[in-house]
Amino acid sequence: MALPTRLSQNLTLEVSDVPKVTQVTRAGQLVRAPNLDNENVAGLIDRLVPPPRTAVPRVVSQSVPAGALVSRGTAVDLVLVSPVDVTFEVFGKVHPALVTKSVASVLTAMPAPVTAIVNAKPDPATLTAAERDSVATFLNTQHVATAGGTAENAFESVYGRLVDIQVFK
Amino acid sequence: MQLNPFIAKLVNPGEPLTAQAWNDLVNAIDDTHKFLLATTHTLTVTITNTNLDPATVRVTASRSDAPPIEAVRPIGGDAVHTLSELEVGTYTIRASAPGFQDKTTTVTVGDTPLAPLSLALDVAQPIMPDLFGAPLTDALTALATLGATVSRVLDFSGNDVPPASPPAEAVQAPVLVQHPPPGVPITGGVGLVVAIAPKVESAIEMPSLAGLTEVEARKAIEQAGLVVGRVKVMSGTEVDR
Repeated sequence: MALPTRLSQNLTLEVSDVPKVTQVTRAGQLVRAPNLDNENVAGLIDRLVPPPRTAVPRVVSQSVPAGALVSRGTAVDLVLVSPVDVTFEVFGKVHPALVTKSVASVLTAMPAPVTAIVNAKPDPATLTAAERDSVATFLNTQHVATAGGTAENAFESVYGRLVDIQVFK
Repeated sequence: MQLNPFIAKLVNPGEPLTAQAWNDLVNAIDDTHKFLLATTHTLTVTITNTNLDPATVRVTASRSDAPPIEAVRPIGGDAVHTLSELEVGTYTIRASAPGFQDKTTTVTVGDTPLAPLSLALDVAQPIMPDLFGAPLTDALTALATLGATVSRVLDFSGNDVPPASPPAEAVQAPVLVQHPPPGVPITGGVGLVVAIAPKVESAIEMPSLAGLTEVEARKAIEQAGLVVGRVKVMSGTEVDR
């Protein structure tokens, strides 16, 4: 097979005799690379596990409110907080037994069957009696009584909060 | 027609008025009437151009030994100009209109009624067509066909649009204003104003990012066409990124 004829070109490349080193500054101070022992680092990594998802910081505030109409290219500032530090008070009026609980603690304690129910049926009106009992049983373990009283104490309201916290999972 | 000699004979009170005298008087009046009819003629001139508003045409009749006469312009939508009270003689009938070459013809007024005259004027300069609502590209093509030079095109906001190479958004923009107006000879550059819709960026509805990780939030923001600004992670200590 014949190769196509190509015109020869003279290319000149200039290469510095010193490799370019990327410098990182933090708060105006040059960040110097530490001297790490790679073997010890590997050992450390072996002893650790990835953080649970409920420890990964999540967005709790955005500079442009959801639903606002903005033009393309608008910058959005974010504030993230670990679900461990996010308590149920961020949802407004909630069951008194949940106010100070972190969403991470409830998510961690939630059994898989209950999680499956909450994810599959966001509307409490669609729950079967058995599903409702399963959720209620879990709420009892969290000392959340849904016997009635105020609106936020009702089962439907508490169930709605369980649906809400799934995004922090 | 010639007037017969008329002998003015006056009578005194008490004198008899003969039949002959009375008949002479009647005949003289009749001759005068016929003379007037025979010596003042009317000529109608029809402008046959379809590319010309006949009301803008000036029709005159002139001769060397009398002042010119201007025709009454069309009344009621027809294209007929009327020259009246033409005395016996030879006239030059001239029709003129802006942007057209003058048209002249000779008419001899005699004793007999004049036949209607039809004249067509030749175009001397291109006439501005009615471009209202036409896409800019069609308007430019029509003007180029006429040999007219488009000196300036503006958009609705007053911004110049290059006539030689209008941008894509202006090609189909309808013409809203034109100069000169339709039917007027184009003596200089043509100006057009076209309607180009102002560029309106589509608004983006900000999605809710609550509960998303930073990676997820960045992806959602970028997919929405937005930009991630400052990110703070709060957990007792504040970290700026």
